[in-house]
Amino acid sequence: MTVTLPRILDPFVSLGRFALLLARAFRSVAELGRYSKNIFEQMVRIGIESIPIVALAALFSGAVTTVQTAHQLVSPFIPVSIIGAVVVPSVILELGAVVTGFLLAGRVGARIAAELGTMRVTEQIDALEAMGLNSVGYLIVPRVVAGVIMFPVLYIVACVVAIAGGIFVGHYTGEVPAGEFIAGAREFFRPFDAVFGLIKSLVFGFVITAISCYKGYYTRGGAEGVGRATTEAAVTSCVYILLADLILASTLL
Amino acid sequence: MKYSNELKVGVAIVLAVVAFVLGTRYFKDVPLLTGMYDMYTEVQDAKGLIPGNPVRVNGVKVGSVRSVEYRQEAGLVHVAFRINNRVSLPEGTSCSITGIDALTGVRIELELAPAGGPTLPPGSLVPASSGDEDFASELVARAPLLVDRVDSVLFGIEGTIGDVRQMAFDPSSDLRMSMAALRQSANTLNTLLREEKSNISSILANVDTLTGDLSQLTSEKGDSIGVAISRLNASMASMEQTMASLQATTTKLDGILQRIDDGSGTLGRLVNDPELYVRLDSLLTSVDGLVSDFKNNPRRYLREMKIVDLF
Repeated sequence: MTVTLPRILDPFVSLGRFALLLARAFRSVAELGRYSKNIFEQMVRIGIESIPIVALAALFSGAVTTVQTAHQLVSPFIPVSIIGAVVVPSVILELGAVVTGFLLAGRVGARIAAELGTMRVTEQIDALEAMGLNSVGYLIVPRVVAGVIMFPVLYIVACVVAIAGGIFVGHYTGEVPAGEFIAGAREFFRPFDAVFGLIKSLVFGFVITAISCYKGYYTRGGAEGVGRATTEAAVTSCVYILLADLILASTLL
Repeated sequence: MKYSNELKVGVAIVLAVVAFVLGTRYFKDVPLLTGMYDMYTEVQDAKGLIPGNPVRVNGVKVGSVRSVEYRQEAGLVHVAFRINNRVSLPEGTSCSITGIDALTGVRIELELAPAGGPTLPPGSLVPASSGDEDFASELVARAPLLVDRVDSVLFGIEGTIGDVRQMAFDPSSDLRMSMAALRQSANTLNTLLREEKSNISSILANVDTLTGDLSQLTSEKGDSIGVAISRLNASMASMEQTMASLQATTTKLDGILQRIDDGSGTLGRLVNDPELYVRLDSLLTSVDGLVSDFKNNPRRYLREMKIVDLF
């Protein structure tokens, strides 16, 4: 007998279903070797192919942060090297990971949800199951693993390009010479910031791929359902990136 | 040639790891390729030194502070720092913590002993020197001297104040006498004011009435004053015209005088030609002779003259 649950419990149902899917995925990790080809394909799609857009976004965010920090420093008593001391930690701690996360929530999250959603509504997933393949191990685990491995790589690319962009723009607009910028950045550099950024990007990679896989895997309702799943994957990933950002910052810093 | 996915991913990950390690070393100010070695020192006062502060030799940065911790059993601060491999510390090298926290940042300044001798092995103690004093400690060292001088200045001020006091209280001092004279003047003035109070008040009353009348006059006769002023204005205007025509006349007269001066025209020649005077003079002399002759011998001239032609 099925009992109709009140709508207020829907979030809990979703969370439970998500957790069970993840549990199935973790159980399938043992079969990872069987799908290694699949993993590398996903790594290229999620990681390598995202490098240009991530680098572009990082370049501009680094440059804009530098120019705006310089704009806000109006006191002659503050040395311009402070610009470097503000921009580099901002990029390493926040911008590098979050800008990359948002971009990939749109680029990767939507793609994963659309792929899996289409496979679901055209019953390809059912076909895989019927053939005796573990659909979670074959479809979800490679994507999540690829996301978790490649996101830190993209984060490093973003940081390097953003800091380089900041130094370049600061130097050539005459706001802060490259030497001063780097001296300021060194003065206030804490190695843990970089480690924290890496942890963040790893978590964001997991959040985006896992949520997108969940949204795609449980798509219902034909083409319209695929569209809805795609949108929900991108939006929900963004929201959970912000939430994860806050939780990580308040627990680890 | 098509690269396999594995190769692409592998290259990307290796590059990212290299970028992360080198980037972190770069911003930690650790040389990217050459190594560093550890040294430490023990000081009484760290003066706000924190990990990351620079270690300098002759003002050039050669390393950075790794850790600063207070060791209670020794009662000293243990400061560990790293030095670039290219710089070796000869034995006898000492160090000091200098700089003011809020201004330039605190740093370790190394004073290298002359090169040539054996060098300190990595991980050994670099003794802290007490000779090199920074600005703040110099200030502290000079404080007793300053206090002495301030003391002597205060002593001088005290003496001056004593003199002033003596002048104020000694009945024969100039100050006292001036004060007495001043007081007497004030008393006289006071008396005068008291005696002439009625006069002064009547004068003031008169002044008051006068100003009142004046005010009344101006308010009542305001119209006629206005008329008078406008007439005065008209007169001034006509006077202005007169002045203008006078000016023109003067200009013309000026021209005439100029011409006279130049010697042009009858008047000019009259004024300027000295010959005329000579001739006039000789003429007058002749006339004079003629007249005197006429006086003496009127008949000579009258013989031919018929006095009464009628008859």
